[in-house]
Amino acid sequence: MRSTIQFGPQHPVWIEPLRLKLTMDGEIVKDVELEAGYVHRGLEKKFEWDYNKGAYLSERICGICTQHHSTCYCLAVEGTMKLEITRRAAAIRTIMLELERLHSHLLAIGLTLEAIGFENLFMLCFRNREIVLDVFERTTGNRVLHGINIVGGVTRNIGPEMAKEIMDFCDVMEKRCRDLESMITHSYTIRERMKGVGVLTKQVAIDYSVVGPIARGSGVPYDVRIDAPYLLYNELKLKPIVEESCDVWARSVVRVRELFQSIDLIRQLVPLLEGLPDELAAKSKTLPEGDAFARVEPPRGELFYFARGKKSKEMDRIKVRTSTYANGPALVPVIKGCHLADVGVITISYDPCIGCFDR
Amino acid sequence: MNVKIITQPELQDIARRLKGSGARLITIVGTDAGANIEVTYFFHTGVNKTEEYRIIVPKQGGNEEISGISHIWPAAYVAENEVSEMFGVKIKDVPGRFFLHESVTAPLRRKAP
Repeated sequence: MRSTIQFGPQHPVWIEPLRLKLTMDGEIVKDVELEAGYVHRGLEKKFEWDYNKGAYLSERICGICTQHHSTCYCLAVEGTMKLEITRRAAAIRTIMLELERLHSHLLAIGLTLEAIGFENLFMLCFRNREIVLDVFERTTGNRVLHGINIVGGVTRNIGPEMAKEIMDFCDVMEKRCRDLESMITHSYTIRERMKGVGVLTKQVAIDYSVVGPIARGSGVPYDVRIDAPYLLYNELKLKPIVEESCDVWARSVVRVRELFQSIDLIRQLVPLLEGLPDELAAKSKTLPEGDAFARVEPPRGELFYFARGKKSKEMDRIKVRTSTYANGPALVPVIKGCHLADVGVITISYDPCIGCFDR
Repeated sequence: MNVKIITQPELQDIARRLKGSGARLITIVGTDAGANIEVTYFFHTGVNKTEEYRIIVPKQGGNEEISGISHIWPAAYVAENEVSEMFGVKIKDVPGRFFLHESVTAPLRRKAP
């Protein structure tokens, strides 16, 4: 006999509202319907205002990848004005982006572990995440909404003392992440609970154009930092981190490995600040005109901003295509055919951000 | 940004060709240009390479309809629905509702001049 289960909009495994209507045959999900829009705020309409205030607004789309949103917005608007930012501003932006990847991945790993019952490891991830937030507080003055990006550059500098602090932070963080990695990869229970669960095959991943750790966990080596380098990424040494097993385990391992990649990138970036003049923002002589788009790689995957200016202070149109916007529909083929008990862990392994999805 | 203006039948061929060549659909963007609605398709085709195609749909008082590409590319489903509900352009084979409540109609559409 078939029955229907409403999974969400409020469910303990998610922080934000999303609804899955599951048609069940016993314990097996036979069909699934995805419904979003519970936190739709109409932000794209609100973006039709002063372009200088847009970075402030874009930060508020998502509470985790705030820096990526404001950076991508600024890159798109700077594209409409043909404005080049200073090298120091680019380096500071890039350091902040990598710091943000660290704390977001620790959050995603922690939540995935909590979903399978490992509350202590969740606490450990959050303890490690705390020191990243402390660095944000020291560099930008804010822990979550950093507010340092403006069109044309940044508002806060990283001086030599802070640069040294960031390098010391990298040493502490690497040691803590090694401990965490060892605990996760050597745990028989975690591995057995995650392996073979929520398989998103490579072909389906390509068909749904999924992004970020979900794509890389399915063997698709797509990373905007490499495929369309922005800011200083073309000067850094990095390779896409790819896992081939296509399951929840692969997606989690990609995130764990990317922690070390981010630490390595911060170590490459901080020395680039040395000797650069303290010019943080460039002033534009023109107003936004014409179309431009920008792409960055947030922790959850490719973020895309389209900007259209009309030679006035107000923007004509801003379109935001977030990571969960690309990954969300790919939940459907994965959940179809799985056990009800796996739905929570599969969805959380996608690291869904519904605030981003709905905007 | 180098946008090519194309017709609807051309879009179907282009989508099939790009899908076969291993490209990725980034997204579909709707814009209101006064007398027309513009629907722009963004594809990632290789390292540092993108292709952009635009369909221009003249406004006909809310009776516009275009054919979609979600039957070729499942990734287009949400974006096509969004263009449809935000700009009031019907797209074949998709319901045209995803984020918005039924009571809200085409909030990003402006009055035709």
